[in-house]
Amino acid sequence: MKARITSDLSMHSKPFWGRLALCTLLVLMSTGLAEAQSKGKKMKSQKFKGYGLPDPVKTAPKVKMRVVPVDAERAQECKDVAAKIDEMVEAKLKTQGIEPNAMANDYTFVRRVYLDTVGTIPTLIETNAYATTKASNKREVAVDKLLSSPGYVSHMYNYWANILRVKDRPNNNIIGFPFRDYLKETLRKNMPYDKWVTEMLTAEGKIWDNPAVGYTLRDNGMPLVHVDNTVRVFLGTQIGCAQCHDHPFDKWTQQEFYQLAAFTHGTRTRDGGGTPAFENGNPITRVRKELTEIDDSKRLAGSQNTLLQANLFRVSFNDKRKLKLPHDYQYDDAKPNQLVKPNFLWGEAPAGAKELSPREQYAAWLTDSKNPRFAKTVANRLWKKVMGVGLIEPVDDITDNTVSQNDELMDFLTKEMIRLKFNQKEFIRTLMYTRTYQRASSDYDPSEAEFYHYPGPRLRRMSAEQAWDSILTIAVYNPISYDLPTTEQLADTVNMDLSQVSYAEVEKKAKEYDESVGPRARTKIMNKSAYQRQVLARASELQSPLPADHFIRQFGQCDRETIEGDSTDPTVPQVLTMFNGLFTHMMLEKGSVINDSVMKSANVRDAMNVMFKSILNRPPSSRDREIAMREMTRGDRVMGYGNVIWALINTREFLFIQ
Amino acid sequence: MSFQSKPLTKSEAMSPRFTPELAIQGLDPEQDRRTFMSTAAKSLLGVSVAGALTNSGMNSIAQAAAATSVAGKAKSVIYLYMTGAMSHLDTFDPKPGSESQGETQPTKTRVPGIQITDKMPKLAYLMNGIALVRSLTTETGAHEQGRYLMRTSYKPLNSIRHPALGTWANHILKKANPNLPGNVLIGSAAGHPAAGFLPASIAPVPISNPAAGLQNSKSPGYVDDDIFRKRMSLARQFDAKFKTSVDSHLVQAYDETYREAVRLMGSSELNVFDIKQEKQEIRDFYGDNRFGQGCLLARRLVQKGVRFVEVEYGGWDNHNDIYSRLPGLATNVDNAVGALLKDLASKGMLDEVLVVLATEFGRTPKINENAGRDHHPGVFSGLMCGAGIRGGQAYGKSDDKGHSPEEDAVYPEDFNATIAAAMGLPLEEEFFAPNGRPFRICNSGTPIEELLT
Repeated sequence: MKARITSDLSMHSKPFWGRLALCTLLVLMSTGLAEAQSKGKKMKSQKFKGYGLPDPVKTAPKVKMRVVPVDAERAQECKDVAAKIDEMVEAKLKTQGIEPNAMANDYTFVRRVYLDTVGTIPTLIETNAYATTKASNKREVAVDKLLSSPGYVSHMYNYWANILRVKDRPNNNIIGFPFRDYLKETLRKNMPYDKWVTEMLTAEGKIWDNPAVGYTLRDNGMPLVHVDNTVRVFLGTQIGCAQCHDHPFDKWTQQEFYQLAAFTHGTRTRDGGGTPAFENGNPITRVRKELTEIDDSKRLAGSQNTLLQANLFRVSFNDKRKLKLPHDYQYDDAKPNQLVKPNFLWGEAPAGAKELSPREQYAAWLTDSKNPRFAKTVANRLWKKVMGVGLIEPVDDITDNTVSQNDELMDFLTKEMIRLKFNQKEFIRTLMYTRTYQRASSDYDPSEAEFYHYPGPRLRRMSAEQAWDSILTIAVYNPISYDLPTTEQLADTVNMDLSQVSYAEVEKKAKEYDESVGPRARTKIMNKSAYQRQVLARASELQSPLPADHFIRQFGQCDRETIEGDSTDPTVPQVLTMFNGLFTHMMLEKGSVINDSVMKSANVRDAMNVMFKSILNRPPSSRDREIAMREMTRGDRVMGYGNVIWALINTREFLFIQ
Repeated sequence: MSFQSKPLTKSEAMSPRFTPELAIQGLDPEQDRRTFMSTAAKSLLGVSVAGALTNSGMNSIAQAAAATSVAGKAKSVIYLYMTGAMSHLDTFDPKPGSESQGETQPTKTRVPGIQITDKMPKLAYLMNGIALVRSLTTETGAHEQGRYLMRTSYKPLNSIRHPALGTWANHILKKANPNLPGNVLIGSAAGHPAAGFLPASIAPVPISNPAAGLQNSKSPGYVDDDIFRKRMSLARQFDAKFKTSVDSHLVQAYDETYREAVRLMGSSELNVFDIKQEKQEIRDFYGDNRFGQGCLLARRLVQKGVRFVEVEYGGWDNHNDIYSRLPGLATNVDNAVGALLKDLASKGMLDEVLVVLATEFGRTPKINENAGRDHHPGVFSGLMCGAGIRGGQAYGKSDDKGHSPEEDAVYPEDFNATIAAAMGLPLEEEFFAPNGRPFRICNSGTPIEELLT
């Protein structure tokens, strides 16, 4: 049967090259194509031929990341808790006179659960495997398997990177890569959320020795803004206005803002006079001087400067530094420039924390299970992540007057988060076990200014990362085909003792940095997996932020400047990319996943099923079948294949998660 | 030449200084215009002014403008947005001799009494045509909220998204050129209020890199029109079930955007997005950087009748070491905006195009311990120049330290209402969002009469 397609394809090698090119990709891979190609080459112009996929992405990876799995013993417990959640949701629906949606069918569910856990649509094989499984608990089994797989780390990394504004280079002199690896590592290990946040808020050292400091370094030079961001992200509360004056829409005073900021004011992000690095004077001045003494005309080169500067960025805490009110403080309760005594926004530090440093006290207070907004904020965030709408919206602007869609449920979820000891994965797992999550989706338009009542999860557009990763799933076997330098390798290369460092050492290290671990070296590694200069790797493995014209940015990835600055809005360039972008060629290249699957098909009808299940993760309806078959059997078959694949990618159904 | 044959309005006749074109060209009313234009403009722009004024672009914009009945003077707006909050003290409102001055040195402009940073000599020279606003003030010192307010005149709400001003302009005035989008954003769409509750088809088309233009706007050579149509028809048929089974605002917005993209692909004027069609000397004149090239693209677009072009320029969030970064930004702005105004003037377009420069808030008078300035919504500056605007003035005043408005406080909605008034948009009219709630184009903003001609 395969031979039949092949012979059909080779027919099209005759007429002219342009026509062949139309379906190049499909065409090129088939065995009959060598001949087709050689004939094509005799033609005057070779206007278009496949560019060829890079080798590393063409075979499935052998070694996979070991991800801490869900707790197998807790399956029943999860089910019981999920049932309680369903009761609460359904009781609320009843009061609103809304019927819950029917359960989603298997195809809808498998597509959704893959996107929501591992950040991509399932492959053809995964779609078929799920659809043909008969087990009654197959949904739970799928949730467990996916939450325990490497895709979970990649997907959750994207989720948190969007919130934490993770950047490769928070500024020109801060090397941010170790924090990215750290974030993935905490997700891989499923580190309890409260421990993770505490670690980030209290970490000290250089970023390659203790990567958790990357959190503080992200807002280097903006200590007050950093407090605002921290409270917003982890306590869902916006106190930023009170940095300059009493909050106009909430109760916070400027005094209260400063009192909270006073806990962490002793945090220093960069070594200066009085630190060990400056034992023999300013190290940078010293090295510069040494260089001019060697050769008067020489100046430190770019990465030599970067490395020296990067070694200065060390987070430390000095209790002696006290915060003062601003010079223009305008309220009667204190004087301008007056020293501020640390004080929490509410409550107090947990017992046992009182002896700690102010910075540690702050972290202990913030992440305390008794802090009424800490567990609540993350419970609401993850509920939103799974269901599409928060019980409280926006998730990061909670005030005393905030009303949730369902107080009983919000309260329950908060307690559940605490009971689970802030186990993010088990919490998500529980939510995915609910009927509520497994129902058909509904649309929700927040401009109706009404609560969403969760008759099912919300219909959503894929995130930018999900869209990109899904296209990769259709096209490549290995979307994480390279290993970038590790934090340990980076540390070995760049770390230096600034009090002693000589120019010779700087020169040597900078050279190693450029050659083996720095941005230039990373780019070189990544480019081995590039297709027409686009690196074919999952969003979580690409640079951050990406250039504004990258597919992922076009589809709304945040520029990493604002907290959750992502978007799912349509734009014309997005659509033009779907029409004419490189990716429509890429997925049809020889050796692409969908191309191989189509070519392995026994006949046209099978090929059509493969296309639908690879792209929309469902079989064609009878009407689809009629249309597609007509297209693929009437006239030029190869052209028809290309047209059907293009059309499926360009449906709204492809971009949306039902 | 266009402006010579045009009768002067009463106010223009009475004070020729305020004719934007004249002012921008640095002309004294007495001076022979022709001489100036064939020498000064030629040497500045490297083009023959006569050629520029008689090119077909001008004719088509004039025809397009004639085809619509716009009450306002500004047929198009180029809106330059300084992302990150531009320091007013180091650009348009320096405070020489005060504690707030920092390292910025002021320079005199051609308008007596108005000084700006010496990093902007070109704008200083053109000040006769420019109106500064030095008393902008807002309550929010958070970037996202500030940007949203500046672009929409409303505070962000969770329950609705308001349209950006460019979307309103297109909603009311419609396209002047059916072959091109009416609303373009040279910058990043993420975080932009865009269409708000108005149709997605008039949301700004984002161009992330002006030098690259609108990418992927052509089908590969092997897909001809018939094949493209067939593909679209297939997609529509495969999508039919999904689209009838969901009733989603966002899905509909995508449908509209698909239609808009198809229209655009068929446009005969797509090359307007290609700034490589400009001579290298023109490109250099605007500045070899993203903002300069963005301004050049903006000029090409308004020349073809695009209603509203926003150009973003980031890098102003100078919490650290402000004087290592800001002077370079200021120089780029001076080169780009200076070139833009000259270019528009030499093409006779400043009568119909309004250029606005805005940002989300200002920066603190006090320099912080990291040698930077922090967020300061108390007072900040903006700029307007061109159609409908009376140049040669600084409206409003900040106090000696540059801390708060001293005279004539201007809220973002007033600033926007002034732009809207110059465009002739109906400020009093209420428009209903899909949720039934009424909104006005610039909230409760009032146009600043002193700024308008």
